[in-house]
Amino acid sequence: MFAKRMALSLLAVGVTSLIVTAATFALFTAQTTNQNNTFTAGTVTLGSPTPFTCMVNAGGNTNNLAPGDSGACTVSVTYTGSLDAWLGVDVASSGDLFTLDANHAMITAVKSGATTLTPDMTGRYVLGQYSNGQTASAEIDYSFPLAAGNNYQGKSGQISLSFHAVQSRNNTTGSGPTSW
Amino acid sequence: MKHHALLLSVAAVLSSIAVGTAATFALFRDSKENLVGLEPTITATKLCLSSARDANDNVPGPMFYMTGAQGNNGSVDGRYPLSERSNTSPPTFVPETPGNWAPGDGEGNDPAKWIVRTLTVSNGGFGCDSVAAKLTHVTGALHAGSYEPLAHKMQVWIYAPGFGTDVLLAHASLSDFLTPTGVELHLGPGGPNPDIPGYSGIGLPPNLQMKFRVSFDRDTPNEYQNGNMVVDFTVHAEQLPNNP
Repeated sequence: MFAKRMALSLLAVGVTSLIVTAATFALFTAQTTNQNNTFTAGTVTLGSPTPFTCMVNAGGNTNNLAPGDSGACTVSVTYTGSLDAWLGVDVASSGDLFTLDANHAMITAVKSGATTLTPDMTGRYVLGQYSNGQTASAEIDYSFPLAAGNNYQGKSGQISLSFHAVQSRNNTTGSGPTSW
Repeated sequence: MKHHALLLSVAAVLSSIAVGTAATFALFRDSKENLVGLEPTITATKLCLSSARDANDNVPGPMFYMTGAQGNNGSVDGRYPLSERSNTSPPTFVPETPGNWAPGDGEGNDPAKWIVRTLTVSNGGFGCDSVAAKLTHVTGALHAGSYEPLAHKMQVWIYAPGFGTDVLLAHASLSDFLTPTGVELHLGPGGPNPDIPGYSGIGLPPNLQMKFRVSFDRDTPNEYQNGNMVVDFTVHAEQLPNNP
């Protein structure tokens, strides 16, 4: 009985010691801070394109095309992002004037300034690399074949452009982006 | 009952000896508490860290900033905003429209494309004699108004140069630094904490250079554009002696 009480007493003292030790264990510490580290993600943004205007080389307007006419449509867009970027444009045509039969009107060239562009592997025309505030222009040349028959009278078509921008940093291969 | 009687007998004998000693002890004696009249002083040591960015312009400004003004140290604009991107010292200038972080920045295995800034952590000095310290972890704190999701898209590596080659101390998402426990520092995987000797008031205070490399995940989507955050990095240390 005495031994049991003694053992319990020792156990109690031991537990108390452990608690006291845990509560009082401390080390000197210090810290130093480097303040105000700023991280800002850049932007890739396009302004609104200018109105898409078209002309006929021989004069007149594009609402009165005759077989044999050709001309060009132009549009420009200003790049407003903070990061340098590749700009590209997708070109598409639609409507009877461009689809009716084998003698349909067609897009003959896509240009950036005086340079005639070829589409990249994705079918997109790369306009070049641009910085904030710079303006990219695209010219779309078209022709309406002289062979077009009477079935084209009164027909119309549309040329649609879609501009795209993608960061150029960490995304450049050769003369264009690695990926759009 | 037998035990009880024995204990009482021993107590009685001890009491008799004590009384007898007190009655016969008598000698000339003297005492002095302190021969020179000064109290002996025992002082606990100190642990005092300080730090400064060091990219060949050792000043107490932030390590990372977009513009020179953001890197101002109180009087002079920071010399190496983001457009200075390599880890050479001083960083090699990469001409580009002043830009911000782009996805993919600082990634890859080519050190020339890493974005690295150096923080020199000193132990003691400026009137503080300090005990040797071990650096335990680094925490980060976002300023109010910061775009917190951005932290999940940035990676941080911390290296210690000066060991022949840079030794990796930590690598984690910047968001991990924002937790209460931060990110632990170890000299290589499973290694000990890096330490800095104590300072006894002679010469320059000991220090450890810490390189902070940051990258921006390439898969970051468009909604992070123009996200901004301001982070305070804090290096924590403990006394090295008596600290297993």
